[in-house]
Amino acid sequence: MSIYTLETVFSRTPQLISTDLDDELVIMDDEKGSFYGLNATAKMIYGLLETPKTLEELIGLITAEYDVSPEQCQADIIPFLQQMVTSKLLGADIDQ
Amino acid sequence: MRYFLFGLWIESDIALPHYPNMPDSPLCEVVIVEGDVPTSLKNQLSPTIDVFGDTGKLLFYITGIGRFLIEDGCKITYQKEVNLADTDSLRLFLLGSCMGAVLQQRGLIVLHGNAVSEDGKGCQIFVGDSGAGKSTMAGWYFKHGAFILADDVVALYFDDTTGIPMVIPSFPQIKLWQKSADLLGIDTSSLRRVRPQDEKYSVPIGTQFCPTPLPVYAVVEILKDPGVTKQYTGVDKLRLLQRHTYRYGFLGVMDIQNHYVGQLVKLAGKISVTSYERKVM
Repeated sequence: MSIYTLETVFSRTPQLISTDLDDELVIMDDEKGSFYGLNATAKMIYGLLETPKTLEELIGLITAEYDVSPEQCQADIIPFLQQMVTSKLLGADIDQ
Repeated sequence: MRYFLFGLWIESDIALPHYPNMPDSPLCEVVIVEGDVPTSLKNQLSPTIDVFGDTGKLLFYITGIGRFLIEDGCKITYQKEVNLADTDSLRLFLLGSCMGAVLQQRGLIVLHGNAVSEDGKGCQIFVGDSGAGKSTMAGWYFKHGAFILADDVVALYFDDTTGIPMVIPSFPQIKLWQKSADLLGIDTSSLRRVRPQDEKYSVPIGTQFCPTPLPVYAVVEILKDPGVTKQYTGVDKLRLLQRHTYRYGFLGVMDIQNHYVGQLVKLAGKISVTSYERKVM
């Protein structure tokens, strides 16, 4: 089970700079000079989070675009979300 | 004495005897001067490493040689240890780590490797861990008539109008270990040692020194151990460029790592990055 619910709000960590590099999106922490590379799936999720969204909204947007069931979509994107939260690229507001 | 090295006019109170002295040049961008150097600065690289930094400043000690302070990309102050006889080593640090810090402070990308050009129009940079064969590779290209832009410290900037990454010529010589010189059939008997204790020689490269900046199209990592030729993309490119940055630790203590990484991203988007297994020569 995930710690996230459909109501969990995900948002981009402010002050990060992102740039396209080859097929990846490179996200830099301007304070620390550290960086991360996002592959196609992570990049798509990050792109959708230009404004904060709940997990439910994310699933809605992805299933509207891709041929995938909401259940499958949820199972697929949660590991990416967790990873990005761990790397502090995203924040997850679990209380809302 | 006035020299033109790394694309900069340098006024030095210590002679750099193997480079042309041009005392009449009206330009001066960097001064090298003997003087008092403080014992520390705000940030230290690690508790056991004598490298300190602050905004626009870098300081380091080399036991048996002296202390060096590099400020605002335009001033190097050195304080020799008492009775220092080995001025070759002093010069080595002035033209190596100190100039590396000057270039970093000036916002340039500085890689540890060498830059060669086969056609005089574009160049590639060879990088690799110590002992991987970077210098031997430069020596091989030299032997085969190629142009050399830089050995050891490779500085890059982006052209103001085109945005193309360019390598700055450093100085007209390469350094070769005796072993590499033997492999390449270069006679070292009349050559000067880089410093007295090492069997490493300065090889003057004369007209094969490329005096003007050239666009760089590739960074090639030479692998020490057998490996497969690999083409890097995305963040892996960036990591390789970061790994082969000259004195990467200097950037952190000077608080300019973030700007530097931004420059590396820009570079990574414009060149190819590969690694390549060393062929036995």
